[in-house]
Amino acid sequence: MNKSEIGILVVDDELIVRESLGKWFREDGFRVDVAENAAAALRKLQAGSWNIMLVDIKMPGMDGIELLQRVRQTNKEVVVIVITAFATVDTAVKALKEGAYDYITKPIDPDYLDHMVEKALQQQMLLRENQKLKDTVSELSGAGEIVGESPEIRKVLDLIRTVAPTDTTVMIRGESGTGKELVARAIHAGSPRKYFPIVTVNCGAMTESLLESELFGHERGAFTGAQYRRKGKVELADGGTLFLDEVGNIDTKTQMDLLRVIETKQFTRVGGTENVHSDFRVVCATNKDLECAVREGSFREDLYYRLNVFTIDLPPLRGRRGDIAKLAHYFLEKFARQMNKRVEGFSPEAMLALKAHDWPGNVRELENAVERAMVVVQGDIIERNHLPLHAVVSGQKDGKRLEDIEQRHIEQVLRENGWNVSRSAAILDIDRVTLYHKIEKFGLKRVQ
Amino acid sequence: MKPIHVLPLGGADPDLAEALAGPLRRTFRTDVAVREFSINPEQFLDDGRGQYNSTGLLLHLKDAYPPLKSGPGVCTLALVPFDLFIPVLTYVFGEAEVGGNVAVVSYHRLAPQRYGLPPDDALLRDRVTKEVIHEIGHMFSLIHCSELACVMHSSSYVEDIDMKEQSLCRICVSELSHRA
Repeated sequence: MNKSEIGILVVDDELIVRESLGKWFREDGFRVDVAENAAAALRKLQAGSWNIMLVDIKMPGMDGIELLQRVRQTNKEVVVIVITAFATVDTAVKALKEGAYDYITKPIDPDYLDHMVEKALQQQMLLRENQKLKDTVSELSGAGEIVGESPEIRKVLDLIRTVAPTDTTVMIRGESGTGKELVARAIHAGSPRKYFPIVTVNCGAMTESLLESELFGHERGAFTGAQYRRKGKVELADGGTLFLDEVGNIDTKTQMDLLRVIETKQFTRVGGTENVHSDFRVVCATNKDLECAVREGSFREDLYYRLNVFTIDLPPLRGRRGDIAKLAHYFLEKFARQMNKRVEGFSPEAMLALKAHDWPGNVRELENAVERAMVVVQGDIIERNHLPLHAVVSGQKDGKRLEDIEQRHIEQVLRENGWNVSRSAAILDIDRVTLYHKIEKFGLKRVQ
Repeated sequence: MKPIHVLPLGGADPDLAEALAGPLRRTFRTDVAVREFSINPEQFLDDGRGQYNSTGLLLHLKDAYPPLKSGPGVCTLALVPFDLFIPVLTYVFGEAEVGGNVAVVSYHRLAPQRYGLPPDDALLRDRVTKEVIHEIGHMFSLIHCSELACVMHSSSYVEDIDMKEQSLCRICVSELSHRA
């Protein structure tokens, strides 16, 4: 910023101070104005734009502290530096508590004055940048990506708006691919915790010991290979949101540890003794029937009640068919941008097929179908044959065979886990060799 | 460009004042004259601070120095050996009216012996020259420059002065010719 664009307002009842400080800053090239009392300063503050105010504490009528309080009520941005005599340092400390940036004692060391102004301007610039970044993050992470206008999805959006600003634990339920993580992110983005991280733990993808270490971290030497202390997801979520995906898949021992940490917000790292505190909000998601799991004894009842405070049920895509066209166009535009392709839309036949499909993999399956079509399409319209909907069009026999469902499921798990065979095999509860056989048998290939 | 008068006052070293004429002529391309004039500096002494009020001195010169009284046709710089202050600051090396006709520079804080070092006339002359050019630059409406080596860069310590050169940077030269 050019110095002539930076405004400094000097507020002092002594003419000589106003004149000499005014002159000092003018020689530096700043835009300077002076005010002989607090009332004049408030008028000038309202009329113009100021970066820094230098305010004398002792002034007849409204003193510098009261002026500072008034300024802070209407203007949070201007940096206020108070000027005081040696004898009134206590008052200067009070000014700092009221929101002054710093104080200087008269007579002022010229070098100190220059440095303080420079520092104050840097701080102001950082605060502005920080606010700008926060606004950008807020925009990017908002609920904007939940697409749809059906009554079912509107109800979900209403629930998100209601619960997001609170600190309540939320359980999101819905079939795989319905957008549970998206809802969790929208809840986080609408909460006062939005400037802190949302940390996701995929509880279904890990073994018991791995999940424990993932959640709570570990100390150096806690187990073979633990060469360094590592923070767990619970600790990383401090100030923010802990999103427990596939919470129904947690083993019973970790369920107990999790219940304790949710209740006390304290835990110990694996292999450690120190109590670590973390302030986080819990949002969890499951596609399992947890009530049934509780009845069967595979899920702790106390943890169930601790998590199931506010429930959001996500409808499957086949339950909100009215959103299919809108979602398909949304994904088309998204991938067109990503792939730098010019594709206008879907042919009537393609759209008909999209609307007729049952979408067992829900929105994720639709997204993947559009992505694949975008890869193979040559012209500017996606045709029926570009869509990988050979399996399950309603009313047809094809795709309903057990083998078709198995193929689709394996393909989906692989895709969800970035084609990590070990992780996918663990989720499918089969060994890696079997998974390799199935990949070969169904001719599954990774789409880049 | 207005002519420049240099006034050694309050017992300032006349040789030091004479040495300024050449660099000032080269920098501002105008007539430079070292003139004799006398004032009583004690009227500007603040007993409590043991320093001299530079603003008071400037105001006095405007009233007392005949070429300044007769009109704004000359830039006048007073060179003094005593310590200067303006009330809100602990000290100043000098003071000038930006775009005005009067300025003052003190070499009290510029001498190496003030910092426990042996006397060094060449270094003192260099520092005085830089500060004098700086204050005269203000009289020709130049403001502080962000270029570290430019003589118009703001200096609060002698180390800052030593880092500068005696000349104006290209931007300040262009500003100066624009204003002239």
